[in-house]
Amino acid sequence: MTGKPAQSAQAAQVAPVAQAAPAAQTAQVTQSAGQTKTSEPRSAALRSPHSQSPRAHAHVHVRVPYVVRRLAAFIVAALVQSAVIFAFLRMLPGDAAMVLGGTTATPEQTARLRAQMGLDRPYPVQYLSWLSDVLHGNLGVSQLSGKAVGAQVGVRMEVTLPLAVLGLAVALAIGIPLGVLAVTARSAKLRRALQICAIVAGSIPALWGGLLLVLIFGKGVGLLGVLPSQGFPSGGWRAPGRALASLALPALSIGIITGAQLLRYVRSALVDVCDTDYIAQAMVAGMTRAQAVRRVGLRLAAPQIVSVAGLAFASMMTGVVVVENLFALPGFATLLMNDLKGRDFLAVQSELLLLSLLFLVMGLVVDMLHHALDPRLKDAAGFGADADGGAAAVASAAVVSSAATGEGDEA
Amino acid sequence: MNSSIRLFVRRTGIILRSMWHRADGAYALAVLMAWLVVCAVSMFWTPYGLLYSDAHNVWDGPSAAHPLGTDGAGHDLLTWLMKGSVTQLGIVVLVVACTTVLGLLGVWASVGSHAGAGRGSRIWMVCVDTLIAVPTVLVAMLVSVPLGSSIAVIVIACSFAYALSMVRVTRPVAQLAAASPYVAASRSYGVGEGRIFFSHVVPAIAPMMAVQLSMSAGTAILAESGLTYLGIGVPAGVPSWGRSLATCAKLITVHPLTVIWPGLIITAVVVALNLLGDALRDCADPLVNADLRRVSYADAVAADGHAADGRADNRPDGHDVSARIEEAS
Amino acid sequence: MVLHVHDLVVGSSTAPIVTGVSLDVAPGERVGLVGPSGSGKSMISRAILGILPSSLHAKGSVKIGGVEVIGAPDARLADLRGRYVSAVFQNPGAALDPVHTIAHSIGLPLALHYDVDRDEMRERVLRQMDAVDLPRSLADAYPHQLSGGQRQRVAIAAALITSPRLIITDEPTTALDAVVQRDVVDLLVRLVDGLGASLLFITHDFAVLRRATTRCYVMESGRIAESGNTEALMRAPQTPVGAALVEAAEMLTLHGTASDAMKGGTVMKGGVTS
Repeated sequence: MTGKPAQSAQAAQVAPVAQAAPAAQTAQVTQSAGQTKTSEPRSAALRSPHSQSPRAHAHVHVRVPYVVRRLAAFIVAALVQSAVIFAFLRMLPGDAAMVLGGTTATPEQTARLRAQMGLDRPYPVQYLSWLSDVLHGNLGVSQLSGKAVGAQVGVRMEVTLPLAVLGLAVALAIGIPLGVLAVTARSAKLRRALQICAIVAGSIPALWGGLLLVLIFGKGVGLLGVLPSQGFPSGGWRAPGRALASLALPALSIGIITGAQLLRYVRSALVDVCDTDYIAQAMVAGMTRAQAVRRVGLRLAAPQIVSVAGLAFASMMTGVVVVENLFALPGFATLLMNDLKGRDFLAVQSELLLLSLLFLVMGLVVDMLHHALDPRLKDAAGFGADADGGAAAVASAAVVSSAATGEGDEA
Repeated sequence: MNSSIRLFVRRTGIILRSMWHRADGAYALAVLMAWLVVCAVSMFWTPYGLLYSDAHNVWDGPSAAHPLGTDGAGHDLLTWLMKGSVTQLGIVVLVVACTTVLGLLGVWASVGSHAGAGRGSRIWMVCVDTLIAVPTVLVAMLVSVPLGSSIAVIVIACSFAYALSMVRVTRPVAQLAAASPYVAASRSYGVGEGRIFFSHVVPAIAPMMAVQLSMSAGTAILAESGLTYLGIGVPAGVPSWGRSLATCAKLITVHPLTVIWPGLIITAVVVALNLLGDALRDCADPLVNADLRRVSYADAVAADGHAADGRADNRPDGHDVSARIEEAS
Repeated sequence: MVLHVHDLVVGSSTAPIVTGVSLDVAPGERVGLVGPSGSGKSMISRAILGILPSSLHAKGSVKIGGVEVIGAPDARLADLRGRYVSAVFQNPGAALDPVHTIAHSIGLPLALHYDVDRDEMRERVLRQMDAVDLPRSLADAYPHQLSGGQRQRVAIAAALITSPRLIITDEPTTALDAVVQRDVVDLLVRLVDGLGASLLFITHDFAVLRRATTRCYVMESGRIAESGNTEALMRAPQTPVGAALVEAAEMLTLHGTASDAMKGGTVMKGGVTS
């Protein structure tokens, strides 16, 4: 299973990967110069977009238009996604007026409600008015709770965003060092053991994982009752210690599972790099194989790891819904699900828009990191090539991470 | 026709045997066989009926009467898990089938008959790439709005994600296959597009498909457990592993240990599915599996009409081949 | 003996690639290892350096400066590499670290083995660039901004910065065009002689070998077919593979008899085209 050439991160579970799997690239809407559409992590990370790039002095000229183009792509993508969200929700049966009216309202009453809520206007008008509201910071009013969606989302994000950040931190702390170890460890048994642990940890249902952690660490019910297992302090982050404590077990739950997936991805990316001459060159300069993998290999695989991490983070916004439920955290994912269940489409509309904007921002961040990490990107002239706004990037990241993990983003 | 069926059976036998000889393949095959056996058995017999309720032994730990304990309504956990294995199998089969169909459709669309170089194909790939980033959980939540809590939600969400993933992952290989001179020749002989697709493109992407499908099966089981817990998965009253897990989870503070079994079974099976994909990919690849190479060569020689000169089962040595070349030139 | 290889066997668990190769390189000697593609030449160089891919293993004896390499711990090998023995690979574009400047790459062996402060490091890197005829202005450029010939010079600069005793070059000119090839070979020979170091030059091209080496080994299918003085061997190869290689060299390098004027490895200085 190991040592085979040409295996990329399509990663079957265990180990190396099948052929020609797309490499993780940047998240949605990035314009990476032609690099995005390749297959193996190796070729993506290590191959220059152009074999003979223009000389260094050209890069200043390309910089300015690039930033502008990038922002333009961002805006276009955001608009397209908002339209898709709007259209999709209009397609779903039932609407807020019917929900509010309930089973007792007569058709005339429902119609009046609809007019009141502005739901009888032609779709394009509704869409534009929604957009203009959003741009003015008004995300609408929730039909279920009567509260402003914006305020609600804000409160919920106070829980979910830190949770995702912590979860990602745990995942990186597990995935990267252990992934490197899985390649550089001298004992073949240790390497194999790490691989097996990664597969098993990545196959645990998030629900069960969380339950096991509660059974071990949860206050009141666990062996070592050290961490709270339910709820989030009502004071929010004004009591940072308690807030952090209540996020600890949930973050561990998703972090360990995501970390296992990341481990497999890092491992397969490094295995690919190992056979290249980049490692040989580093070794010939005087590094041991382990040093070369750590110092050169990891650095070369960094862009893709960043992509996978970025996508994992964005996916966690909804992926944590099970964990939020289990630990009774009032988070954004739960809000979204409750609003969907309650057919509160006006709220869902704005929430989905926020979610998609988050994905786009993640893509932007990952893209910038890519540029910082790989000097070849700064010089590559072909920015126009990828008018897809880098969707290819996210796609690859998604496929790779789901491949490397075998779980999609079911957290 | 007959001989190609025989060849297929022979090759499958070799692949399975090779998998059995690997540690991960053996584990995967063993677990999957056990699962199938339990399914078969549970169709005819379970320790108790599903609705049987032992009111005196609610929330019991393992005992002689109830090997895995009981849940809050006195239902026997073992019974529910056994019956649940059938539901689980059904879900997996549905997901794999839908993923295959949708995936092949997608590959067809992205490769088509023009080796995917056109504008249309480019736009198609952009769509695929954007859609792939949509989290599976979100898709499930959205789909559950019209469909309510049903198995269809799980199936749609999982096959959506993996069909897209399959399209993206297999695209380079599929394009290569579709652009090969062999295909062009076939086309010029008037062979239909469908035939070309299935006899050239599909075999080329089959190993990658196998991996994606086994991963989708694993995800289906994991997704089921999460979605059922959230109330948008398997409907109430239908047994499934996720349902058992969810039921036990709700009262973990009172009876912690009941949750062990369902989760353990789910993990074991998902690991098996993951390992299956890996082992399958390796063992079905003639470049990696030497046994498969020998069969392929031998049968190709036999099919060619050359006499199987007693060495048909060994790899030909260099002299033999070069002698033939010299003869021919 | 700077390099002493005895009965080296390299292979995977199923198939041998190199079967019982023995060769020697004396101090200050320039030795060639020539053979058709697939004869195992590259594997020998990697086995010597201890950088074989993980799926392959080596048996036998390889002594670099008297230190046994086969079976030695990686740390000991890492100490030898870059300090006592160094290498130049075929495709520098796929070997030079793309995310660091060439100044970093050139100075890397120095940084790994010696304690040198930043200013002195910079100075030595620049001087090394002068030695390989690279303009100092390129010091902070990245490999992808350079041409193939320039990249190979960077690799040579890095290989020689610590004044190693043995330099192994694995098809260093194969990826370059003909004019650049000659310049790079001449540069290599000049620098190696200047250091009084030894050179193991691996290639499939006899014409290049004649310029670069005094003695050579001819390989075929994993073993040494013949060996001897390069000139003599070229005039009268004793084996079919030797004859084939000589013939190929004479056919492909259009010099023909004109190159006889440059016999014996006379080096032409200057004329950097890159």
